[in-house]
Amino acid sequence: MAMQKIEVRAATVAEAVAQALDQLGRDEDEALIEVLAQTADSALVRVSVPEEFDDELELDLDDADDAVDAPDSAVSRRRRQLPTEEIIAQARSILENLLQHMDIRGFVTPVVQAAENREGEPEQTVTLHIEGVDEETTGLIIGRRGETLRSLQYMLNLLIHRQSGHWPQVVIDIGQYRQRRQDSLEGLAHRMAERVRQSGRAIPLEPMSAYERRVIHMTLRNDDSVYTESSGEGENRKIVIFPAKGR
Amino acid sequence: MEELLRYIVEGLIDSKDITISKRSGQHSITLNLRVPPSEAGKVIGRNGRVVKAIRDVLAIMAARQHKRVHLEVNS
Repeated sequence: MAMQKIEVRAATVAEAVAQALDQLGRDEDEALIEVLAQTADSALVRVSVPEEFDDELELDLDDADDAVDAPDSAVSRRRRQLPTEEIIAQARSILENLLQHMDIRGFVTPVVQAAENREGEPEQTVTLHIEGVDEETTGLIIGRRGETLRSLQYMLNLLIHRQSGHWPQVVIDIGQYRQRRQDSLEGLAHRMAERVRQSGRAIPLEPMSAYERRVIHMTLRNDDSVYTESSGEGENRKIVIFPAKGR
Repeated sequence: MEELLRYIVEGLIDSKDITISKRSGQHSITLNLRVPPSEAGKVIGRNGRVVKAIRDVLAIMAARQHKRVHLEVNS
């Protein structure tokens, strides 16, 4: 289906999305939203909508719902891979409920990003951006080294899983924490790789979450002078950077 | 605080039989959660992972009131 796409820059993701939808005259549930760039004070988003939103598409979706109980049907397989609009809406509403119960006023904007997984296959990641929360509360939600944010995210995914039967791996971000953390992890990876090169010795990093280890692996994937491996179990799992063999 | 805990626990277990009591001190809040024995595992999780997540989420709310929160789970 032909898509109509526009790109909008604004102060926050929520604002950029709202402006784009305004221009297109469409609702959020018809649109595919991608964040192209994001900094502390600006966000660039691309919003795509089908040229014509026709009834046939909705009929297809109804059929898909009926077929979802059938095990191993093409539909249920597709649903495991791609978070559907329904699950995104569910995720958003659960996070909004959690915030509301915590007396935290904020806006939740879902953003779908296409990225490659470990096997190089395209994969969709849903990130729920929390915006409009004061700085102190933002710090509390993130917690020491992002641990509280990780717990909130785990809780959200558990609740989605209980409601939908799927593990969509929804990511929560607030105050651009994920982007800032990724930048600092990439910097760390490069600095430590340099030390490994200089000394010719392997260096272990601090224990990290799966997501953070992945950032380090990806950062150094194309660096021929070193290679990375994870060791240890559970909370203590960490990356070791080794000098390339034969050097 | 009880409402937040109830919302989370209702989403996690297959029972409506949830009892929550609360004791408030000057600097701390203690929540006592009681669920049927069959459901306790879903609230605690493997290696206590779920209950840790619940405690962390409750702690966000408590910290905004400059308090610590303790959660006890009974079944």
